[in-house]
Amino acid sequence: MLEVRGLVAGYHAGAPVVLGVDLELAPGRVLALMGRNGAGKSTLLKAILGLARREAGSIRLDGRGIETRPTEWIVRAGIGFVPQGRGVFPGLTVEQNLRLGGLGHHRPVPPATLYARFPVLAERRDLDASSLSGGEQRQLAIARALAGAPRLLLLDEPSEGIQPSLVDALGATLAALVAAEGIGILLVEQNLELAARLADECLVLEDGRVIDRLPGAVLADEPARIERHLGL
Amino acid sequence: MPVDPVLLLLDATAQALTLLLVASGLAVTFGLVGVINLAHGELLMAGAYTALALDRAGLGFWAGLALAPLFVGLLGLLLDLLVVRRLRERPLDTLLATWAAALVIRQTVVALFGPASHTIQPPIEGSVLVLGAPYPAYRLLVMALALLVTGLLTWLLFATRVGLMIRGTVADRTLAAASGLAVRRLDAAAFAFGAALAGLAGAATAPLLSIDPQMGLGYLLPAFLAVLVAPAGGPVGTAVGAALVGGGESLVSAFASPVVAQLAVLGGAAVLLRRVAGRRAGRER
Repeated sequence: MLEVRGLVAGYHAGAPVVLGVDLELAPGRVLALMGRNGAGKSTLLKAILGLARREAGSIRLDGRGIETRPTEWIVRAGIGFVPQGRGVFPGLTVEQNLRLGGLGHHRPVPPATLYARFPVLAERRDLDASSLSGGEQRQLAIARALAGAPRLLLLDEPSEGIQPSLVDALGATLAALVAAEGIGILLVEQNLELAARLADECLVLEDGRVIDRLPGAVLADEPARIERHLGL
Repeated sequence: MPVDPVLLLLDATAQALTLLLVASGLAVTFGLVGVINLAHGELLMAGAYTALALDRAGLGFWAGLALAPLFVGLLGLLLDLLVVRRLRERPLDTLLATWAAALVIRQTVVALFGPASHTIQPPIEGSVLVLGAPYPAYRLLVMALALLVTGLLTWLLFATRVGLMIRGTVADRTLAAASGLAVRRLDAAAFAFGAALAGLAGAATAPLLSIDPQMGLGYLLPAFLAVLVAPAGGPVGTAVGAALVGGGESLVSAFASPVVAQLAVLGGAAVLLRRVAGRRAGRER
């Protein structure tokens, strides 16, 4: 269980981007973070992982404070991360990416298990990760994060830059991860359809603050309510 | 005086491989960890003095060759702990701080051993016939050691877990940390390993050179050039860089003065650097 209370974070001292956010994420649940560009969604994910500067507030994982821990400790404690953009190691093969994703962990998931979930990666196992298509790179990025057997996954815009036809498959994969493996997902996503399909709850961020907290069903049933916040 | 082509080739190969041995440590600290370590020459010098001190203490040269990498590796670890890791995102400050560290190491050696030069007898005397030409046996041993180190580095980088972690960290530092890798510890280990290789190079070349507090300076620029002009990363790339810089200088100096040879190598390196930079920019686009 991840609990964030009053988190203030940013990249430079005295210039916070996230201004006092509270959230909870339990295993097997999906919490969507939505908001316009610059609202602080990605910074919030990075702050949880220690990749952005944390100025105030608390972050607890299973009751233990993690706000002063280094990134690798937090990741090994069970929080996987798929950053915005590629999220793969260029110059390394698909297989090496997957092995690397598990190397720092106590019980890494073997590549063969990950290939069963992402079959296209098995076909590309010996190729340089940077030579894959956008959709394949996103799958590899998620598989790499899963190699550490995380209980929670922080996903930053997983549908960005991939074909609309592949977004549906991505949604099915993520839904299966939640249902079958009980992984909790903190999802930053601009694609309303994907967020509506997965989210149990949605937080809307604006200028670093949570301005609305909605049940996931609202995203599907009343999209206009969220579209207003996103300026769509 | 006519030049013996076999000896010319052997000398060029020896100079290239000696430079490769010196540049291997730099290929790790600069090529992989990304630290412009201006104290690399002094770490090499510290290796040579370690060999000298142990030889004088009666432990013999081979003990020095074995212990110099350990001692200089620890020195590198200390340098990382006190200086390099604190300045990671500030390359210009790292440049100045490692230069300052070089001065400290040099002056410490002057205080301990004096400013005069020293020599160590090669542990293996005599010559071996190579392609019909007699060549000093110890020089051949150093050449073999350079090849062994390159092979070892290649294996370490491309066939081990640690090598995979280092390559991942080089490819994307933030992603490496976000994958659970202890990047700071990897940096420290790689920097110390690069320093240990400098120490090994210093001890191995000690019987071939005059050992003095300035000895590291002469190798600093060629070693950086060898790493920079390498057409590809990794130990094999460094070997090609060392062949171009060290071998090139040796060949030119057989027909011209050493100054002309150094200028020719610098000019050639400048041209190669432009090409390497152009290729890298093309890859990044």
